Amino acid sequence: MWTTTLTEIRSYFRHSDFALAIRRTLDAAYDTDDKTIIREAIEWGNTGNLFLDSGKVPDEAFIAQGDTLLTKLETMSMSHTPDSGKVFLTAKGIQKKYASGHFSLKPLDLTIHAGEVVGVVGENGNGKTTLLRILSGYLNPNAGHLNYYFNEALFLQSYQVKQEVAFIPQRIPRWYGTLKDNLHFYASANGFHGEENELMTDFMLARFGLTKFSGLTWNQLSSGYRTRFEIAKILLKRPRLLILDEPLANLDINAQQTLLNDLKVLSKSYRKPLGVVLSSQQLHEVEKIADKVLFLKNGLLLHTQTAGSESANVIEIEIKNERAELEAALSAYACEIKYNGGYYMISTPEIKSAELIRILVQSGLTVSYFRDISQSTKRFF
Amino acid sequence: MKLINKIQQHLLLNYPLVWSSRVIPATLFGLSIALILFFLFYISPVRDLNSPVFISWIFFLSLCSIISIIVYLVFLFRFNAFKFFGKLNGLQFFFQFILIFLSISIFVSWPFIPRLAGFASVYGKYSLEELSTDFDEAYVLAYQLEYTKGTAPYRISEIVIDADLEQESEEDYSNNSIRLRSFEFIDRGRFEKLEQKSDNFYLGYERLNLVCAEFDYNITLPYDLSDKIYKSLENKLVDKEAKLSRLNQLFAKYIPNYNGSVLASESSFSSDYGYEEESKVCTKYRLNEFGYEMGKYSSGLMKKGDLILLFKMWMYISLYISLFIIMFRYMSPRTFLWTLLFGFLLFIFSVIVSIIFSFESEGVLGLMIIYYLIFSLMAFSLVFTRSRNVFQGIALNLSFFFVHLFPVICGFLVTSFISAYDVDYQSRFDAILSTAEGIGLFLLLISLIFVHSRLFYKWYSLPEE
Repeated sequence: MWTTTLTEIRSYFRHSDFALAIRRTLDAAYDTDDKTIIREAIEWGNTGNLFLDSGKVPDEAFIAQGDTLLTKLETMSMSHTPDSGKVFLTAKGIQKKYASGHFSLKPLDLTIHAGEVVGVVGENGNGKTTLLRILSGYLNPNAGHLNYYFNEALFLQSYQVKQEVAFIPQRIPRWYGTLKDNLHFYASANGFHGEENELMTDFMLARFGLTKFSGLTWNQLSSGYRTRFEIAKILLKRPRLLILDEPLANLDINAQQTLLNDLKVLSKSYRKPLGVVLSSQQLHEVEKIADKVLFLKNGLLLHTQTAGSESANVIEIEIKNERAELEAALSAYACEIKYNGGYYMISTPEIKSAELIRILVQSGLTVSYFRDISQSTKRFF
Repeated sequence: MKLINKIQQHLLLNYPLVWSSRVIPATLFGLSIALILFFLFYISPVRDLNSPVFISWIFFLSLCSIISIIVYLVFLFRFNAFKFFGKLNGLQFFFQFILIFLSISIFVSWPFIPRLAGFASVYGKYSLEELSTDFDEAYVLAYQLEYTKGTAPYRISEIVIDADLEQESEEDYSNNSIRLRSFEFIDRGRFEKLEQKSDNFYLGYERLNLVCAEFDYNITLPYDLSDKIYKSLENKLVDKEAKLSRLNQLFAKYIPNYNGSVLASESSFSSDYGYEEESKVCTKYRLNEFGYEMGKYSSGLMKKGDLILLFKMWMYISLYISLFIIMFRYMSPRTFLWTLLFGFLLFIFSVIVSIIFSFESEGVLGLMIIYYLIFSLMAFSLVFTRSRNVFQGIALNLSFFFVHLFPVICGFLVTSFISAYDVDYQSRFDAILSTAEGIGLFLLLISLIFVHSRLFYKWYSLPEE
């Protein structure tokens, strides 16, 4: 597994995806828990980030250094911690009804494992934030049971939960002082002192490409970098469960991809696997990285999509032609055609996606967009 | 500056609570200002508590102190390890309180510095007793010298001896404040309690009244005091040269560059004694000048009781501000504001209840004890709670804020059962209250480390309803 990880990183180098290579190498170094290796990776990562920030291609020396670093990493034997795959949280029948009576979250069961990414999707006002706030211990459910396996303290159970479960709200609260001072402070308050504090702070700065912004304040950062900072800060807490409410909302498409990949990788950490729960409107992006996707509608958990689960064929298409032409093309097959938000959604038990696109093209239809959403919660929208 | 930054960086990396309490910059700034103020007021001659200049300074320094505390709070609230659930324990909670108290107490000390600097500048030169004796002597001598020239205006037969003076009510004291101050001055030890009640105590003017004038007010004197008066009158015509020499000595002792003449002007003495005549005597014998020069020392001096009072004022103001800060820091802002509003409404409610039921002090104190017990019970119910609510938050705040006052309230209640006519009433009262204060501070310490710290952690980390 460790070898596979390092092989993947080497492939990023080969394909000149240096940004990803740097991040993954830093992650791998972090997993070793070896301070010398981590420090070396930070220095190397900062050099790489300088290249990328200036739009230049990293030079041979940098690549050679990366290769040396990976060779060192290969000599270390790594295995997943016992936490990996463990159940972090179980929710049974949790529900929430607000006093105003406008909305209620219907009874819901959920299990979150270490290293698992859970996506929560649904339209606005359907209970995503309510669910996330309940899971993170900020909101008390009216009924049901929430169990965190890492609960140890009795009296201060709720405080311990807050230490282990990190919640990043959609609107990131304002902070003061410089970015680096804040990271130092968080690291220090979470038990990293002296040199270790320096190391962890530098690591997070390098890992999230924040080194060159370390002296900046809240006002001087874009919302994307604020999100990155927030995640870096939260990770210094070494949480077991990371819950993010609409983290993609303020990010551009590249930043979204980067963040989602980061979450995926961080969740699978060798050293400290995380359970990750995130809500988003970006269905496609979330589904790409999530091990499990929950679809909420009017507070009801309508569907839980897990990787490889069976479902009917549902294809989403956009065509330049009229609906009648589409219906004519598919008249020989048992299928249902719906028009939904500018797209046609075709549900059919018998036609697979490859077959469908062949039929559409052969019928002379101009297909401008085609997506198989059989495994996606998009079909519920 | 580099050294401070280095220290700050070290604290940031190793001691986040110390760093976030901003104790280093606050202490350095606050102490620098305090030292400058101390130096300025040490060399300043203005020490009279009632002078407009002095009062203006106190007002100005209070304003500076408030502004500095606000600025300090702005920086303090920027970093709070508690609100992101850092790894904290009760001892750290207590330690943070101490650091905040330290910073706040330095800012709060500014308005007290003029008084302390004045005290320090005269401390050890003359004792209050020495000043008092010299002042008495100078006035007696001046009047005795004057008597040798004219007719004594005394109507000694009007002196009424009344040993029960101490038992008069406070209202009586205030109505007869002039004569009381006179007593106090003559026999300090015996009338110390009365002197504490007087807010307008001067060296001098009252002494003058006592020696020759207040007889016109049909003054009532205690036994031992009357002896002094008789003695001073008996000696009035004896040894004029010696008296003049002694007066010269006294003047030289206090008046800088004294030219050796006690007489500033000539004036005739009238048998119709009154304030006008007093003024003439004062002018003639430079008594005003003497009193003014002596006042530079006397106004700076403080008795042990005054120093303790000043210390307590400083300490309790700092303590209350620090308690409010801790509450705000470890509570949601909304609940904190609700607490303030609730406290105010409870006060109004209690006043109304006390009026309706005509509560004596025991009733009011009993009501406060009941309140405190209810708040404490509500706060402790957090142990069994699974979600937080604003009422428990308010109760937690109030039980925390009044934890050190609870023994004091109980102490007051106990003292209300001691008869005010007991001979040792005052000493027992003082002893009980001092003990209660000590217990209160000890309870606060215990509460900060073991009880309320955990309750605050619990409350803040509980999920909302």
